[in-house]
Amino acid sequence: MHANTTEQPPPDKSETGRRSFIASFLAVMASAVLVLAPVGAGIAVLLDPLLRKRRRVGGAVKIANVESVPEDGTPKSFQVVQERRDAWTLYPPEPVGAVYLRRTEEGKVQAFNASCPHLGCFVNFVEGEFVCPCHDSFFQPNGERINPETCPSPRDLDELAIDEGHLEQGEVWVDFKNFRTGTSEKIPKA
Amino acid sequence: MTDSPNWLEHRTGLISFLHEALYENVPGGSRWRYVWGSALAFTFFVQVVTGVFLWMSYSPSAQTAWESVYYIQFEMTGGWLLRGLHHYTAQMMVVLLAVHLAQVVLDRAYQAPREVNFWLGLILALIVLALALTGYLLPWDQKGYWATKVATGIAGIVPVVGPWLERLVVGGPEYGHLTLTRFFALHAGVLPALLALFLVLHLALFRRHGVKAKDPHRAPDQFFWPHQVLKDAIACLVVLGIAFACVFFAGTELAAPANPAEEYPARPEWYFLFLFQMLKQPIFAGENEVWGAVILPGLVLLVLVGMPLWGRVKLGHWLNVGFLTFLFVGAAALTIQAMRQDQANEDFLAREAQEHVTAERVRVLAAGLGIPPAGAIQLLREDPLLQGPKLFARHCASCHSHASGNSSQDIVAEEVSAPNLHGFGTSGWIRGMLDPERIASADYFGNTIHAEGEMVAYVQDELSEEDPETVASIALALAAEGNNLASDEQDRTDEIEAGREYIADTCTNCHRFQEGDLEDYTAPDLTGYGGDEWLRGIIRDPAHLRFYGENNDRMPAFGTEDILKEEEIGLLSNWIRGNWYRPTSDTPEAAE
Repeated sequence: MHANTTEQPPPDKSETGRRSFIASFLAVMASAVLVLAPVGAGIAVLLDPLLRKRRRVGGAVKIANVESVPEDGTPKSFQVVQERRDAWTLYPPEPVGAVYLRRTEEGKVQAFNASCPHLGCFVNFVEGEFVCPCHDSFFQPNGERINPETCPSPRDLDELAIDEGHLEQGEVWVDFKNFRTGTSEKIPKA
Repeated sequence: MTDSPNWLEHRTGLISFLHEALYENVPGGSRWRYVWGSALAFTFFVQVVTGVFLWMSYSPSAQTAWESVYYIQFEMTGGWLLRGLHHYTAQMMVVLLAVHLAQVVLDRAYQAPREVNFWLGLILALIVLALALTGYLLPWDQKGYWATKVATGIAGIVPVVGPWLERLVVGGPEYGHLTLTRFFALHAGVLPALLALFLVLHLALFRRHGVKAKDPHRAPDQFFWPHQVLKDAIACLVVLGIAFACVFFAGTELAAPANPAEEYPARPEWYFLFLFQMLKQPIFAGENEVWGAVILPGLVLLVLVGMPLWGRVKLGHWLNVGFLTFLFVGAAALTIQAMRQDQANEDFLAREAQEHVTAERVRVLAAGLGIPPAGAIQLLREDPLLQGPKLFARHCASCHSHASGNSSQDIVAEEVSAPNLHGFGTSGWIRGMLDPERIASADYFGNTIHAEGEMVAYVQDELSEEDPETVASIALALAAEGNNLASDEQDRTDEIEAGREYIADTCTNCHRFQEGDLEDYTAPDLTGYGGDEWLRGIIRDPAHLRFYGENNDRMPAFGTEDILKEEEIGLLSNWIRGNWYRPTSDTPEAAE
């Protein structure tokens, strides 16, 4: 698109095609830099959420003492109180979610994220089984789906890791995480 | 292949539009002196691009503006570069504005038939200045906050409508959320839209009248493309390069969060310094300020508007050139004068240095402790390192010094009449008090009623007979009481135990230590001596039985008399004891 491809003759009679071509080439290159520099700086910042490794605040968090978990194996829900970081703000410990704790036959404690793996509704424990009130997913007290073929949830309830060291001292500390919903695989968010 | 351009041309006219844009005739050929307008337009492009990206992370409210800018500047990938480009390109824009204006006047490009375009240019210039002004506030840091307060204060002295105007711009009687939302809407919405609109008109008229050649016959004519475009692009590259260099080498400042309670040596951005300096001239003092702040700039603008009218005749043109020269030289002289006065003003320099320390400290606190929901200002208010010296200077330094003797941080009492509290509670400080040479000096009880008291007599007559190790062990034991041991003293447990035994045996004639009723003792309790709880207690009420009781010299009860709030007493105690947040070695802040 430089001057010598047009039908209109260049007003500069002395201008040669080569000189004009080099100027055109350089002008295009320079313009590209001029556009890309600010855009590039902006794109880097825009992509920051993808590049950022999430700073985990807390890690394992204390949920309850072992005594407050029913001894008969019935799951009971507990609030998770944790520091939460939202971009620049660090919120003091506040409820960020809920877990179900239950005692297992081996005398251990099992923890489940109270969100349904289907679409994230809060699961209830009614008459011996977990029920999701949104789309009727049913789970056994050990978190397994009661009828995997017809259950809307693509996976069992999300079990959370419990810190063994604290458990021996009578405290339940859980590595609280949320997981992506709607997938058969258990994928932690961020 | 050949169909597609025709297809596009037929439907949009794009090809002929581009052709028209690029094959503008430049009489006398391409020249460097024509690049200024393009460079200016380029800076606007950079501001729009970087501004929109900044917008994606910026949050305009009194609790989040500084915090989000902090996050952009120090946490986000490339955020420092993005904000830096926006910051410095804005300044380049103001410079280019002045150069473009000068070049247009010198080349007589404002003469008929280009008057209207000259006026459009003046409107554009005012919009750019308004953008600069509104943008300066948005980080909500001390610098922008106080400088902008001056600007809106000037709006307030505009005759007749001033007070309403100020309230309207600020969004209320005081600065707050609405000031930021309004400034942000102006800065990112209204003003750029107006700028774009007037820029289109400006360019349309420029094309209509063509390039005003300084000397149309110096060389054969050329098209705008490619030679003038190349010159323009190179000029823009230089502008961009300067902005990059500033970002890399000067960095982009973020002062401490805006604090209405903490005055700041307010200065406008450097390109407004001449206005600031002009207002300091004696003839604009008091009620006359409106002349310098509003009427005179208005008159200058009026003259600029009139330039093309009388610039048609030779004399008028040279008057214009003279006026503009006078304006630029005057502004430069005032700017230099303003800078020189500040550089010669030690008080200003000291306060400016202190502001840098505060800004850096807030950054360290934000990085290390996280920013609470109430905003970074809370970090600043609750930091013993920042608040302790101010509280001490205000409430304690009429009697107490806090001075190591060789530091710029030393606070020396107006009239030393109580112990020097530098290092209070540490083993070194206590050894000084147990030193017969020093206990009656001005650093301890010298200027108090206790100079004649039993403690001084005991130290000088009896303790001086003990061997130095015993004295050192007492000092260690007392430092341990208040949790004031240095890290290399922690493991000297045998000496500490020996010291505790000595205290329990000997000092308890007057001092309570660990057990017994307060009523039975005449001197301060040594249990927890110099610890946070102890120190808060004595600041609260030194005449309490636990401390000096009726032997209290002149120290006020800062707590029980409601002179200080409990949080302030805590800040003082923590500062005196050297207890404030320090970055641990595995965080990057420790490198400082």
